[in-house]
Amino acid sequence: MCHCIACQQRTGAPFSANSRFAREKLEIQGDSRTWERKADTGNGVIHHFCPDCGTTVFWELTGFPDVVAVANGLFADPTYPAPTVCVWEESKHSWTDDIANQPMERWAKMPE
Amino acid sequence: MSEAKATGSCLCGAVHYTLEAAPVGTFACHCKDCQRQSGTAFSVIMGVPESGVKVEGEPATYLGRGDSGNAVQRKFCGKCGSPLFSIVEATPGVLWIKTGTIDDTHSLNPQAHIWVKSKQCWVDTGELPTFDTDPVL
Repeated sequence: MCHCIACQQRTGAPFSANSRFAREKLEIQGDSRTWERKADTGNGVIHHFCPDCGTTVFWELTGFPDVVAVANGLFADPTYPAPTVCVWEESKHSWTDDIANQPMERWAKMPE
Repeated sequence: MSEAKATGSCLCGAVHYTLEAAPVGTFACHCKDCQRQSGTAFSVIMGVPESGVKVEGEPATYLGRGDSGNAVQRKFCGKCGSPLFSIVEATPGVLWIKTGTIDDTHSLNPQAHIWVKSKQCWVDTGELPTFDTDPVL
């Protein structure tokens, strides 16, 4: 779960919910368009989105080449597991304080 | 967000907008298409009269049918993918802003949760009113 401003703009929502998978466990089908941004750490984030509908499906983190991040909303499955780590709480919308009450590791920024 | 005159943009800045009218409503939407397009648990949308939104840049459009069966034009930035606006057949004249793209969201406060029948199990809607689908349908 990430409350950073870039995730708010990417999702159009108040926070993102994402999962990281080992790259070799993920099979991507279909074409994507890419857009790259710099994270606050200086590492690159390469977004892959559907050129037809705009949905960002997954993204690569140049600082963590062995994993690929996938947007949880793509599963559209109400029983998908809850997030276990929450980052960038310093830019959290205050009305979302009680949205996710499950125990989580919480960070004001992104941990080093 | 009761004051008119807010600004917003997509992630890359290719499309930006100014809101010059007061919103007609703000909702957290848990429909499956909002989950897919946003990639997260739900979207937060703010309705504004179309005439009160000045858009600069050319968003791309994906035309789909929502869970209700109504046509939904989903406007997004073709360069970075950010979702920006929806135009919904059931609410003519209203542009639904994807509020994560608003620059200053401090006073943003949804009034209800809609489409909670497909809500993610870990999301707690708290004290706000909830609707299984959309109350205007």
